[in-house]
Amino acid sequence: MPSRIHIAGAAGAVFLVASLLFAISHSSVQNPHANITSSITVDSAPPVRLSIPAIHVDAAIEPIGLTPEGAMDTPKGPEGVAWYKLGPRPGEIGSAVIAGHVGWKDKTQAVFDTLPSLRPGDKLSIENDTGTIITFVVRELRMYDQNQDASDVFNSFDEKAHLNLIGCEGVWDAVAKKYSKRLVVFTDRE
Amino acid sequence: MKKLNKNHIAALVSFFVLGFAGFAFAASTVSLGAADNFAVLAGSFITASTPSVISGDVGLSPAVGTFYTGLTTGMVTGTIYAVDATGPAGGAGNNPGLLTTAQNNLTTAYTTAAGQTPATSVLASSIDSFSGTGYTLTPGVYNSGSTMGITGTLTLDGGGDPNAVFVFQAGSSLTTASNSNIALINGAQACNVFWQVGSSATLGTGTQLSGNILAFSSITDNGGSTIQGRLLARNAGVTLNNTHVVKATCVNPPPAATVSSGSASYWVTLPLISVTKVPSPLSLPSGPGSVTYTYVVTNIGKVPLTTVWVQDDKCSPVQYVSGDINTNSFIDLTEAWTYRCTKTVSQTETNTATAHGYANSTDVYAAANATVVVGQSVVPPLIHVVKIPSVSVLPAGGGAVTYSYSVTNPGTAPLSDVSLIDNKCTGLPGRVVGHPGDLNKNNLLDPGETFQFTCQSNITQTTTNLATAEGTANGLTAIAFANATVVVAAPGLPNTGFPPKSESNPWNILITVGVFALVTGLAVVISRRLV
Repeated sequence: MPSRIHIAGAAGAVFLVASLLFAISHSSVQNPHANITSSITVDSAPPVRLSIPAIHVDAAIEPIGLTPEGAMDTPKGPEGVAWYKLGPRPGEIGSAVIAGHVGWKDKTQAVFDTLPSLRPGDKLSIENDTGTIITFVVRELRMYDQNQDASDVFNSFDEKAHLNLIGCEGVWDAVAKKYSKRLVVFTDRE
Repeated sequence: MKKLNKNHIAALVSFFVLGFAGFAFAASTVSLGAADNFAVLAGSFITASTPSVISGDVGLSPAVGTFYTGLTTGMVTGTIYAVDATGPAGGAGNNPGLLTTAQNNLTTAYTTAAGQTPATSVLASSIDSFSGTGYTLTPGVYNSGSTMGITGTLTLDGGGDPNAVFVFQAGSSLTTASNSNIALINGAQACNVFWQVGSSATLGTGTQLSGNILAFSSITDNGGSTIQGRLLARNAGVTLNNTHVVKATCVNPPPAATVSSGSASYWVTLPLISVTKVPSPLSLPSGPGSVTYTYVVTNIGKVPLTTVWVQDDKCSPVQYVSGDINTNSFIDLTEAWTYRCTKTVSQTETNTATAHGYANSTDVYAAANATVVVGQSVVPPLIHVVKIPSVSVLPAGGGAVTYSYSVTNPGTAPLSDVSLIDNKCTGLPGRVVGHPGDLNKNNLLDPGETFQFTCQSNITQTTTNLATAEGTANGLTAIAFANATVVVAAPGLPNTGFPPKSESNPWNILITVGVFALVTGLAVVISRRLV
């Protein structure tokens, strides 16, 4: 009976859509702390856009804080980047930090997949919400273990403005859903 | 830019002649070039109608040396320059090149100051642009299309920025009433105050003026005024009359603490250091002489300090005298190390000592300023501030810090207009009035008195903030700085990973699941058919 086949096909299609929805919702569970915000707020005009022409990055910036475990939080999706709002604003004295994902999600290549191609001297720019463009120049790339002390990434004492970019590197651990390394790109205000 | 405070608003109501726009705009410092070394510079004459005391050089150009009247080398602890050999006896005379350059640089400085915008308008009146008491101005450019006048006290509030600049533009004359006073608080420094005067400046008797007067025509002191700054007249003369001019120089805060890169010191205590500096004698009334500076370095932190040194920007060598009781080369928490340096001071000068210590991979610094007056029996002010944070390291995300401050007077002259401010902690009084530490209730910070304060701040990132204490005695202002760094530990590195492409293509999974569902559905249909 064609009608029964029709119903069964429809049921399959519904299941397919449900699977898709589940896949989407499940993958957002991968990042369980994305919506946690710190109670400490910074009175600032935040950066809104990161542009790195050398690796074709032009990404919106979301301000984020800490996870309950005390790590820097991460951007919600693969395309955006996240600024650590408990630190300096990009352009202020000190080390501002921006993180972006690597890997694939929702058929989309994550924003910092090409981060390792950056080289010292490459330039990047931040637009803040007053429309000001601040340019930074890559100084060095350094690899960190995922649990390594990151004091040098978040603190600087040279009275200059820095912007440090963090992405992932190394081996994907499918169980822990983590990469083994972090790549940090250190940049100085031009 | 800061809004004018209540005093302004009250004044606006009280004095209809005033017309502030409501905001003060940022001003830039004015480079004086070769005129910087001159305490007094004039175009047509320089007259000392009664004996005066000038610390800094004196110059006259283009008028020849015979247009010096009454001024002697005994009144000047600097060099007297003229364009020819007819200047005061004993002066260096004869340096037309230097004087021409100085006058040209003065013209440039005058034009630069006059051109600074945007300016807050001050409506013209005969003498009372800033009249009465209680005027407090924030850094910026203030402009009167015609005259500008001062009576009583005009307070310039630096807002905690030792580089704060004040530019006053008078379209025509600047006039001060007798005993008027330009007071400096919260980091304002006389070196950063500029009075651009479109015609001439006249100082009433006993004026205490802070700043550099750049006048198109003449500058006249009616008698007994003290100027920490400069009297620079482009085209006409300067008349001195029992005038005390001290060439103003800026003093700078000490460097912030630096933590060595890659050190694991973020979770331990950061060190703190303090230094006081006292010259002996404080003044040399009869002219140049020997002065011994005594520096006392103390450890106000919680860890012993090593690699201790003291440097002075105008005296060397600074030598260790005593204090390392257990001879372990560390300043322990109970120790106070004494250093000394002796030099001949030939003109009134302010010098800065910097003390350094090291502990827990961190270099810390403190500074102390001291002024010695030459040629007059005026006792200069001295002030000292100690600042201690309640914690030195906070976990990632930060938290609350309470800073404790002690302001003292290591000198002998009681201090008026005492102020304390911190550039990153709000809640300090600024100008101090009625402090319980003012034991004799004279509204002065006397030697032996201590003004204590606390201020709380929530910080989320590593923060170095600068406390500035300031006080005045005998028309001279003393300033002291204290830095403190509180480290906020770094968070863990973010988990910025999605699966790599090969493991993350959802269509593989979805197609598999979809096909499985279809097959299952078909199987059910077929099985039912078979049944």
